[in-house]
Amino acid sequence: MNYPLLHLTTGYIRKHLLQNILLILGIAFGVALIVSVDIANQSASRSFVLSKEILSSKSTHHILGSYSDFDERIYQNLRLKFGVRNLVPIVEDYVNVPVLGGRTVKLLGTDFFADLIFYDNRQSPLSSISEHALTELIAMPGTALISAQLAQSAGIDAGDVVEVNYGSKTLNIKIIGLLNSKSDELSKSLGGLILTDISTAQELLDKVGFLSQIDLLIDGENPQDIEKLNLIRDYLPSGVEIKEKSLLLGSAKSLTRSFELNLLALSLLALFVGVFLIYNIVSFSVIQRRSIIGTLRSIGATRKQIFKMIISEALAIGIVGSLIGVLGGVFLGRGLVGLVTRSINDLYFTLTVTNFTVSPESIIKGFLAGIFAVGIAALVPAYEASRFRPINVLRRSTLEGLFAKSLKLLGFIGFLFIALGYVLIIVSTKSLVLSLISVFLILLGASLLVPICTALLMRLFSLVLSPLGLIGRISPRNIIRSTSRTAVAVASLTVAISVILSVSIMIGSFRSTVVNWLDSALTADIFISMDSANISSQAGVPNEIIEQVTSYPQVERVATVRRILYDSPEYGLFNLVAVTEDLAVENREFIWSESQNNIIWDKMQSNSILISESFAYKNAIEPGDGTVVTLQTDHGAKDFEVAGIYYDYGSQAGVLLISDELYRTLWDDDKITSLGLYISNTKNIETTTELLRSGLSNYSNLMIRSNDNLKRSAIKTFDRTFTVTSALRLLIAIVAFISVLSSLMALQLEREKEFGILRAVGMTVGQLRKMLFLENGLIGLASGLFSIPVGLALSFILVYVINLRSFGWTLNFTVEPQYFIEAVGIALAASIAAGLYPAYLVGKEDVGKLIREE
Amino acid sequence: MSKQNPHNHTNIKLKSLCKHYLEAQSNVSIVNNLNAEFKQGEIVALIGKSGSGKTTLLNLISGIDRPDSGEVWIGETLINSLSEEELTLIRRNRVGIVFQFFNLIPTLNVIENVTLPRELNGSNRVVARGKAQGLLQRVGLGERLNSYPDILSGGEQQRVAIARALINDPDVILADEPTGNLDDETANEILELLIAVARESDKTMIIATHSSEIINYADKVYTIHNGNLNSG
Amino acid sequence: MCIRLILFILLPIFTMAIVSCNENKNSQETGNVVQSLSGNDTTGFARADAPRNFVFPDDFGPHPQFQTEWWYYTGNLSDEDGREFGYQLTFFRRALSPDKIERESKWATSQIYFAHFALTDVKEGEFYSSERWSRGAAGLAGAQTKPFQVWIDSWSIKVDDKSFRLRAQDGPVSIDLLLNPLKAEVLQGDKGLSQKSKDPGNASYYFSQTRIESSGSIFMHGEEFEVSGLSWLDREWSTSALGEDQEGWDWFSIQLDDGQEIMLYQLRLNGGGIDPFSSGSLVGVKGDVTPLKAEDFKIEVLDTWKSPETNTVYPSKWQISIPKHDIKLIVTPLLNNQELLLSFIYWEGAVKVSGSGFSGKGYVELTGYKPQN
Repeated sequence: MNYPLLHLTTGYIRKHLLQNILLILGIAFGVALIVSVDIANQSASRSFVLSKEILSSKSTHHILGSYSDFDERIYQNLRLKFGVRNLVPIVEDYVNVPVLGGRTVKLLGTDFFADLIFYDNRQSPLSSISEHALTELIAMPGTALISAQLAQSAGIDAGDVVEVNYGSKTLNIKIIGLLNSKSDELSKSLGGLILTDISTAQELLDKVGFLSQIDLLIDGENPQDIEKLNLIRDYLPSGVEIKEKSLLLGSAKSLTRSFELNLLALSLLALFVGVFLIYNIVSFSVIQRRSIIGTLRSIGATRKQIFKMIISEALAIGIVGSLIGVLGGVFLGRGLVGLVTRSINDLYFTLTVTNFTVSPESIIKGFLAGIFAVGIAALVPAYEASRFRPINVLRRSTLEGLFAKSLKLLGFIGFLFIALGYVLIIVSTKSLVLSLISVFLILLGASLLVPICTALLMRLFSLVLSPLGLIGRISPRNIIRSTSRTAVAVASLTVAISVILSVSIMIGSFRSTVVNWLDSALTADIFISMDSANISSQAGVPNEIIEQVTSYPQVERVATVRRILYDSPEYGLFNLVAVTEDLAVENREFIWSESQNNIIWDKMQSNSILISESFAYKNAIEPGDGTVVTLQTDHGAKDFEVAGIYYDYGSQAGVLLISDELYRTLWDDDKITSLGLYISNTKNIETTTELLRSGLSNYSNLMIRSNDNLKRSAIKTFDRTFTVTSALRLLIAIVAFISVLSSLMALQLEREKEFGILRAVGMTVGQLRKMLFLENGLIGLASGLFSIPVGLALSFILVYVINLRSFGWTLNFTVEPQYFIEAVGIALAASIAAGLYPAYLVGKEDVGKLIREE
Repeated sequence: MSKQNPHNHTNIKLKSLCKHYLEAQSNVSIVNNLNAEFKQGEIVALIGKSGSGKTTLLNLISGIDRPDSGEVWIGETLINSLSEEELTLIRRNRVGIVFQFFNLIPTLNVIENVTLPRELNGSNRVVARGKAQGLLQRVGLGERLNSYPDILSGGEQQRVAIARALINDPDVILADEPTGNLDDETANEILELLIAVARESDKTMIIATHSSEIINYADKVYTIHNGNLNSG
Repeated sequence: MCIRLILFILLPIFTMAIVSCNENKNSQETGNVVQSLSGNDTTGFARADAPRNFVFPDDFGPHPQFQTEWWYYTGNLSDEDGREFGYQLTFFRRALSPDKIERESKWATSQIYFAHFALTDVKEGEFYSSERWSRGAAGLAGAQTKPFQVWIDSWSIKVDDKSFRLRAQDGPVSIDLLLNPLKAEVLQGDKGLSQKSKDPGNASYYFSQTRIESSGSIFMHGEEFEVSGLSWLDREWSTSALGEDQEGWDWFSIQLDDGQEIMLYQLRLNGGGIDPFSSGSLVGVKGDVTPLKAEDFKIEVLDTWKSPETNTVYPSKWQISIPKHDIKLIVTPLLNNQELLLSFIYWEGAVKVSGSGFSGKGYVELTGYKPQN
């Protein structure tokens, strides 16, 4: 850009500082959201890897039991009989540390001599440990190492004994040394770890004779290694598998993928709203300067120069906004990481490490997204500006006339987009990405329909409001007469409000579905489980509790539940749940079942199982007789007949429900995850709960909860997992608010002269303000009204398409009036707030000055 | 606010009027101890160079601007002590203004522009439209009621402005360089129209202009010099 | 043989964790760690502070009340075509604590085992070395008395009827040998008590089998060689701290063709000189043992070899004289490069012996040589 144009630009920006600050803010918020969600997603992934891959990051394969620990002799045989050397045995589980505020960490025991295989080329975390401490670690029971960082946060010193909760036991662990690592990554992953010798871990975690995992290093290009791998595969007994590490991480990651994708989509929505804001303000700035641009053109500025001037101006602002956005995103990301990690902990698996990684990619991605959005949004106005001919630039009505003519075309294109989006949803039967794209198409289409709808609605308002007098009549007319600008404001507000509305409806539907489901699924009166804040722990309720509990006269009968996270080659990760009786026998709601509820349970005694909707969806199991699920049991492969597919919202991974009797004969597992007690007199639930609590007080960490109590805490967890979504919804609202604020404010500020004339010909300040607020209110109302159908359509997609494709479950669509009130309320509030400053100015500036402006 | 005494009654009185503007760190006196009286039905021409203070004086009379000292009387009302709200009502009801740049509201069509001050009063829309239609007929735009200002020629726009100035049947018409933005022929037409409508309705009209054409029509001609009015 | 080797070998296991192992291991660094551990806690362990009664075959088995222990086999073999091979198979035991704590887990242990395996292919000029380490638990590694056995993974020494069976394999190289001692056990030092410095208790119990008839197979890259020859066993156990002034040692085991064997070791002092506790023994044809004191023998270096891998300069030819017994020998490595590039780097290799009226084979161990720049 040559100097005079640059000068004009900077002068313009200075003069319309507020407008440009709002533009920068809008871009910044949009970018900040993208960056923070990306940071949160990436950090969660890193946390996952760091939590999983604590020591043996050089390993390539893992040997794992499909649901729990396996016989340690497998390791011995592999080394002694098969001569496999690069093997590291691991015994691990999750424990809670009271001095860390009950934080969940992993207690991991390994054979340090075997582990050395993996340390040829890297700094070992043991480097900071004295030989004396290492000797003690191996030779003395109950000893452990923790990271210096963890020790510091817990106020622990080497030599201290720390209490750790595992299952119903409280373990006393002597910390004999503190781990330090020069490697940043390693020290992060050590932050969630209690490291012990393998023997110590077996003893502390009641896993004597068992291993949790074997890490292997296999060179995929070495034929001998491949041969060895095949040997291992053949040797491993049923229920124990060797898996490539990358695939393993992948399969666990795929669980959270939908979750992260949804977050990403929400952040893109925010930027989408941001694009409207940018378009709005840039096109506005062009209109504001149409006489300057006309003059420039008439004195010889080329179209290209004008185009470049507008684009570069927008990009300059875009760069500033994006830079601020990136910084804000890092800041915001910090908060978001916590929320996302907690959601993953609640929903998927325990992360012992909360990582906060700001990768250059996240920064660059966000920054480029900001610049790209600005570029796209500024393209049309810059082109328009370059088309200005010196003669007609002053003619406002020409511009509006053109826009008015294109309303129908825009509406038609919008309709096409919506149709395309709809078709895409129908055509893409399972793809989450495509359904998210169609959400965007529908939103874009809706926003293109907004101008014509606005014009129609305002005509209606004009009729309806005309009895209210002049102001009532001309306010809608004013909006119609400046549709080229008001429509964009209405569209962006509509998009934002419909997103907010649809997310509200989605969360609300989800919540009411879960509440209903809890009511039907939790039928026992009192539940006993372990107090562990994590879903990955394998610790169960001590078996002898059953007898103790049965001895209470109030207890009519006891049902047991065994819930394990099962990893099978055929069905991936899912929950295998074994129950002694179907706790939801009468109320269980089926999508499909082969017979009556009461017969199903009988069938489950022999060979039948039930699967949850998400299990069926994930594995594309269609309802119908004769469907069979094959699992590797501890006694070989076995086929199970699917007796029904039921609604379940407890596990995204899917649930396979089996009768306890069948489970115990096929799997060598005697553990119990929780108990459900039926009380003879249900009036006494709370008192019996208290009685049990005191009676079983010798078991620490035992959680005895009444039905109500459990439901409440389940709903609390539910609400917590949606904090992220709610937070993002709020941020979108903020972007929308800024967008509307800036565009409407700019719109009103541009009318200074008009206001001056109105004042000169006798309009009072009060009347002027009334008009101003009425106009803004109408814009807000229009957006609110438009957002209702758009929001409803979106929420249908979210509830019936996105949720099904993301998580594999069907929700009951629930709509409450408050959502609409809220949506229209936000729209009105934003647009009325936008009137405040212009209304203030109107009263302040003197009329003479206003008229003189030109 | 109806007029009680229609004939030869002093309509506008200016007493010791002073107005300064701060310009480049020095006070420039635009209106300096100015005294004047204008009677009903009088057509007064203010002549002077650009920047001599014609517009300022008109703005002071219309209440768009406030004097530093002195008094402005419209009829029995001392307007410079009024609140902004009251001033607006005076402007709306007792003063009609015609600007050099027409100053029509671009988002309103011709008839809406004209009815605007009337409707701001809460007047019945049908009545207002009837009156506006009559006025527009009078100024020669009876056929263009629904056009928007920016497709009208300058002369046409000024005709609309004149109609607007008359809609509330004001005591005073203030015209600030009403022909300043028009070609000579059109300027004459507009000037004649203004004089004609003022005479017809017996209004006091003050026209600020730099054109000497006006001398032929005005009852009184003043020049502004050093912030004061000189006859002739 | 030398008490320090065990410490030097043990420490790298831990120091692997301490020092990144792809850095060239230099003994200076290791030496510092050793020094920091010279006050190593030996309380609670039994000490070799007085002569004892050796009982065979029980004393082949482990002595866990002592801190360190090893089974050290070396040998010179050849196939029917006279193709020469040398081998070394050594097992080390190290106790982390003298107490045996009763624990549930089979992995619980206070015993650690290490092993070194080396093979010299004289014809091709190739030298292979590898190592193993493991906790002495969960069946992965261990030692037992009845029947005698010591093993790590698939590497093992087992009593097989009257014979001993040695098996080890790493990558393309493996051995499977059957060993039959031709002479009775030789008690080294003072009736098996081998003093290593002037401090009482800084000594080990030490016996050898100096002439063991050996036969079996060597596998190299899929090729099998039927071999036979002579092996040598050193069994030593102790609880011992180091003399700070000792820099390294040179150890010689020589099997003369006339039926005699010679064992010599010389402890080199920091800054040159030989520790007066250096010693040796001469074993007669019928197994009669004559102890040799430091002043009884003299070892002169005739040539040196610089390792291309570590830049360490090792002696590579010696003249050994034992004037009292009128013995003067020239000792030459069968291959210069018999440097074990393991966690602890040292030179141990097959040698041939010649001299006035003497010929034979043997093994030499060189430790404590530092890399040169």
